[in-house]
Amino acid sequence: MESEEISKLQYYFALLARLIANLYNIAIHDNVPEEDKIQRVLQALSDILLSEYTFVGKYEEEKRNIVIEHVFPLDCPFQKSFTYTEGSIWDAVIEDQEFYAVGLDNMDIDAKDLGIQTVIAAPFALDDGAKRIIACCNKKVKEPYTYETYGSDEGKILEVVASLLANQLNRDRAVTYEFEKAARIQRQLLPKKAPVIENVDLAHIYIPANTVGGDYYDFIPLTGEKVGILIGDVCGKGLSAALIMVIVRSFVHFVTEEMNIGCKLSEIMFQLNNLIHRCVETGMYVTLVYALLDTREMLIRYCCAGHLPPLVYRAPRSRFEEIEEKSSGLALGIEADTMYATHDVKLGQGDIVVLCTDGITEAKGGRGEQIEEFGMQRLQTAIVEVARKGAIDIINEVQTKLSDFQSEAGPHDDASMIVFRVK
Amino acid sequence: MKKRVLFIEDEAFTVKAFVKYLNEFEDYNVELLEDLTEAVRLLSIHKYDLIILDIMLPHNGIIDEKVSPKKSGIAFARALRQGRVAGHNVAENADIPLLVLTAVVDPRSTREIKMLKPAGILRKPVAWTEFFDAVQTTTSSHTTE
Repeated sequence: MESEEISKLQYYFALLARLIANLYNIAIHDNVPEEDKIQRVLQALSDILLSEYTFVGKYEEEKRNIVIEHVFPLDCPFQKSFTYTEGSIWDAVIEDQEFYAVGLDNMDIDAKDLGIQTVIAAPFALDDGAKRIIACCNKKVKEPYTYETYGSDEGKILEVVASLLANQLNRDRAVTYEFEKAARIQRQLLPKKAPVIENVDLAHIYIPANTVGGDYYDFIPLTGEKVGILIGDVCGKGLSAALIMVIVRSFVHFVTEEMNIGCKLSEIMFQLNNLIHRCVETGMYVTLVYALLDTREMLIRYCCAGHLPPLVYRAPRSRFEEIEEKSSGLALGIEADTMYATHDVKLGQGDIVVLCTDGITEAKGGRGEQIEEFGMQRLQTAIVEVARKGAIDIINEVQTKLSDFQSEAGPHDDASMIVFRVK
Repeated sequence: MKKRVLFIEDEAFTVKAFVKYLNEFEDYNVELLEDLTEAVRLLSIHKYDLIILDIMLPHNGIIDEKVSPKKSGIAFARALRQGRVAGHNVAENADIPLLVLTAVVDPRSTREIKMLKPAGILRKPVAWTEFFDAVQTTTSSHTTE
């Protein structure tokens, strides 16, 4: 074999080795934010193609401008945007939708102005209508200042990696769009306004996480100065939990009709559990508190299925009552023909009842090993501080305390809360 | 009748397997040359169905010595289109379909290659399927008969 052939083989071997070493970084990873996916690929490209800088830029064709959206490394000295001229590499990539490279002996003026010695760039197409470019700059073969022109083999790697990344990002965006749409529809199923109830001040809040969730709450007016107040949570997250939440809501409205013709709350829960048990997969379940607020007697009668029972704040003693763990039965959907006990709580002036999902009490805060949950204690303390104020003030106080507590990542689970206070 | 193909590629070892396959299993008679000198001679005496041409080729002065070896293929193809290369009459092959197989990827040279009206430009390294599709498409849409 001639020495030229040997050196060519050595070159390909080294390129292949760098490509293999970076396969993991250019592979598709779900559950990684878009920004990180792009950074990971830019970093991998920088390694494979021995590039000092890599970037993704967005074309503003009318202005003949490229805005740099992502760059690796982050301390790259490029300006945020630059203009390009006709016939330049940037123009050729967008016009021909092909990769091009320019280097030491044929550098174009645009790239030179940026301080680039050698560059290879390929089109990068996302489904948002904008044209983009992905570029690797300054192929640095030897320290400190020996640059080389990129070759077509490297262009092919760049082209494939760009297309893999674009496909993944487009798919992610399509899924996110669908989830956001589903989340909007789901939110429409939750009550928009608090019902006006005589002698009771009621407020509610739903804090969505980033996507669809399994929280459910509702207010259902009943005959005889009663209102059904429900809060529940479907186990799990995402689309499946959201779908079950929609089913549960329909079942609740369906069985609640029977309450108006004299059916007891425990019987309603019995039916609800059997309906849910029949339609959900094994392992899926729904926690729920169904409370009937009777404003004539000023009491709540509730059944609890695996959910946190109502928290009752007594105005005369300025404190919450102890939670009776045994007041809760099995979550709905676990076992057919489960009986649910009914509990009555008589309410006096200034008393407060709080119903919430675990998105409130289990919200995460802190950093690293110091991560902890918001917890019952913080929730009750927040409420006690403003217990003499209106229901909406209580909600606002809890929301403020919760958002101060939560880490920068924001809520990882949706959270709901209903507060009512006897006037 | 077998299609007659002239394949000019100085890194012949990278395409030997392609040529072997075309000659042994497909309906082609491919002559693989590593420089332009012999190519010019053959083009002046035979009519070909296709030329597959690399752009960076040693030309041993057969075309203008001022031409850089980096663009020798372009200068050669330009002369071929005019029917005369290095004093040889190649008019019979002046309109021959041309497939360019190149590692040249800068915009200016690519524009020059496109002005030769090639049937296709294949960028190195080329995959067998891409190469074979291009050869087949080009030879089936251009006939010398």
